[in-house]
Amino acid sequence: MVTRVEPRSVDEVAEAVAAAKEIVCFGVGTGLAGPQTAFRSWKCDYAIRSLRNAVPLEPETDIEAVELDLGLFDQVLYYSPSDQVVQIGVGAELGSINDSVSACDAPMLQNILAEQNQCIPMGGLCVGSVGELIARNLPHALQAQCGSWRDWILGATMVLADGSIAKAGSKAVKNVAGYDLHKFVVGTRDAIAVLVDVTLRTFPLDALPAPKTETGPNWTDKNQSAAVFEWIQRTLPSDFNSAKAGVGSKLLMADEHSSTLWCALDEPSEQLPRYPGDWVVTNGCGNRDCGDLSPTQIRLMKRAKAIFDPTNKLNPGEWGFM
Amino acid sequence: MAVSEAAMVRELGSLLSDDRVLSGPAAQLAYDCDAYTVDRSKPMAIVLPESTEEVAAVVKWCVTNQVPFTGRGAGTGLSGGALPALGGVVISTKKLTKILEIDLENRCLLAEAGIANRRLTDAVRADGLHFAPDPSSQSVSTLGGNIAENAGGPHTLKYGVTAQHILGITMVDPEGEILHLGGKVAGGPGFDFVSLIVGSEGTLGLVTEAWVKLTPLPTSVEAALVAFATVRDATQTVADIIAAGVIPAALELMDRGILVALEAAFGLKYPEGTEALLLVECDSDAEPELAQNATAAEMSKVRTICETNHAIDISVAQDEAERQKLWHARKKGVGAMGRLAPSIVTHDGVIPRSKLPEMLDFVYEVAEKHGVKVANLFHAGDGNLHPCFYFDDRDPAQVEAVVEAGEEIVRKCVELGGSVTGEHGVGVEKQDLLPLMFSPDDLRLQAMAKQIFNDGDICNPCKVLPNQKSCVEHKKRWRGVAW
Repeated sequence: MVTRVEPRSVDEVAEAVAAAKEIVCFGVGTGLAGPQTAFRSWKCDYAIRSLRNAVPLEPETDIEAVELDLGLFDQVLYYSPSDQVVQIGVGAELGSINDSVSACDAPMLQNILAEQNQCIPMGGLCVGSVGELIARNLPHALQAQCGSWRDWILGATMVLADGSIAKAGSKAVKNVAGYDLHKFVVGTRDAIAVLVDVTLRTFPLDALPAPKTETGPNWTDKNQSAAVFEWIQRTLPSDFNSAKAGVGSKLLMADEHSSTLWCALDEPSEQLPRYPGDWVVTNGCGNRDCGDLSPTQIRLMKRAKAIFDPTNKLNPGEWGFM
Repeated sequence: MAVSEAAMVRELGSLLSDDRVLSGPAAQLAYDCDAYTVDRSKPMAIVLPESTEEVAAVVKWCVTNQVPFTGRGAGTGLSGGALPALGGVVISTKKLTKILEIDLENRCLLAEAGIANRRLTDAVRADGLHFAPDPSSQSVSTLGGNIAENAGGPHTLKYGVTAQHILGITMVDPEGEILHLGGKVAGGPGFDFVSLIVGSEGTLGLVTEAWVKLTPLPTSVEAALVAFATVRDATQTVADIIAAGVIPAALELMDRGILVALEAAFGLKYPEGTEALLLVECDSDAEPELAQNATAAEMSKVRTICETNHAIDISVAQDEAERQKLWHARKKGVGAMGRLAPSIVTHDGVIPRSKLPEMLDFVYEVAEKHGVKVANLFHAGDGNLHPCFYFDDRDPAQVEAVVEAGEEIVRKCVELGGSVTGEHGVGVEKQDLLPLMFSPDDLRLQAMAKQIFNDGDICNPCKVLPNQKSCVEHKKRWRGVAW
């Protein structure tokens, strides 16, 4: 069975994680099926859908899980505009720059920063909470010009599988003290530790470049807020034009600066052309998503998982082979 | 299970070649420290491999014989990262200096870890590209060293630190296995182990090759040297520039102590009453005409802010030669202090930029309290300060005063919300200060990350994390002590 926990404090998160056999993390209760949430593993997805729809689980898919809803962790814990540093709970919705539409009651991080003429320089497709966006670390439209989460994250507070609370990094924009755990957890999809808050470097709105993306023939405005990007691919710059031509009408969006394509598929297991050195992320994670990982990466990921989460409690199935 | 020096030299010689294994008192003395000279420790042998496979063979030998080993590039590190374990092996990258592949179209380059930072840019400058991280040591410090310490430099304010320019690495892990991580196309799915390795100070293995990102050279650059009558005016200017949303390519601050040294060393003169100099650089890599307008606009904003903060003189470099001259002064500033005293220790700390004025006042107080002289050089845009204490290291009391003053400054940095180190690294220098920033659980988190690669105690042992098990014993056996 799946029970839902909405902790209000870091200690409550720690308690829930320590006590649970399996934890499934879910960041923001906006209900939008945006591109970030579309990339959750089948197991997480199933657990959450079953909870939402009160659908009883089939015996063979029975999992005893705790759904950890971190939506209450949406406060600004620290913000120094003059230092360009903000510390925010992972449940806060990021929002799109210059877009005041919010699906939930709390103000979006971008709005809070905009009051000080600052932003997180993420281009478009910003649906989801800060925690979800960091967990998945998918490409965005300003990546080549402004970097991404690993470049913006200065520190993080996290809960480990045994319920202990640890922080990494600092509030300084430049820091080489110790190992960069705050950067390492970006993109690990909460399978190493449960992030509760992050410290980020902000960007001046005045200096923000315009994204130089192009949209494909089947792009609609609906894509912006509720797109299901089933295939995200990054190639070498030298292969970008061929790759773009090769996906034809399946192209939803392309960013030449970072050589990234966002595409729709006719059916989930469809394969689009591949190029040397490229990588692809597809909807549905789990085993299907891990084809691009080298044996070395897989071995090291298993090792990391064995060290940080020996009972495979955190987001099991999120990475398929772990 | 001690190996004799003769056996070590013979066996390592058979893995590489006899002429690439150094030992004996002279060699051991030459390698007994890096640029952090207050701590010394003699290795037993130094090896000079010429390939990743040779590095792996040496590491495997060390594992079999349980001999500690330490990687070393140019030995310019300032926190003891290349300090050998007593009686261990130093694995030098001095013969791993090749550029293996240049891919201009994809703006990346593959080089061996022993190559000097500056040579990377030299190889592609004519094509309008460069390797952006520019530590002051860049004419000699190596790519491998820059990766180990996640090196910074004046231009990292706008262009990012080394971590943001490393796409992929080849490394030898502490077991002697060769690993390839990342590649030409960065950002793929999976855990980002490259971001753990960069900045790991040689404690997770030895990087032997790396794919680095190449960045377009700016098409327009403007630099200005601004003189202020008080340090506070200068530090306030820095805070105001950042708060205004301007991101200059570089923002470097020098105080009176540096100016006096520069005058003595190079005859450089500054306006009467100058207590602080701010070197500002603005650049753009857009098409030349657009770029010129962009940099002019940025520099104009900067000038206004300087004037608001009572700048007594603003000199803008009129051409490239003048601009180089301004930078020459900045980059040679620390060395120029050799005119003032026999020894210098360059400390390293970080604070939130808004705390710069307060921090600098504190630095002067501490120096006075300990009876030592100090000059200050800052990567002011990042809040990264380098108080340079100059003294005579033949007097142990002065050495002790300088170390204590440094510790007080670092404590203050943490108190103000910063970090114990902005770019020099933890090494041995700041190991026991990490608990100022990190709780036991925080340090345990880092130890777990270290364990992914290094579960033993012979790969650059007893560095970075404090209180590692068996380090107390190792420190007795393996570390020298300066006094």
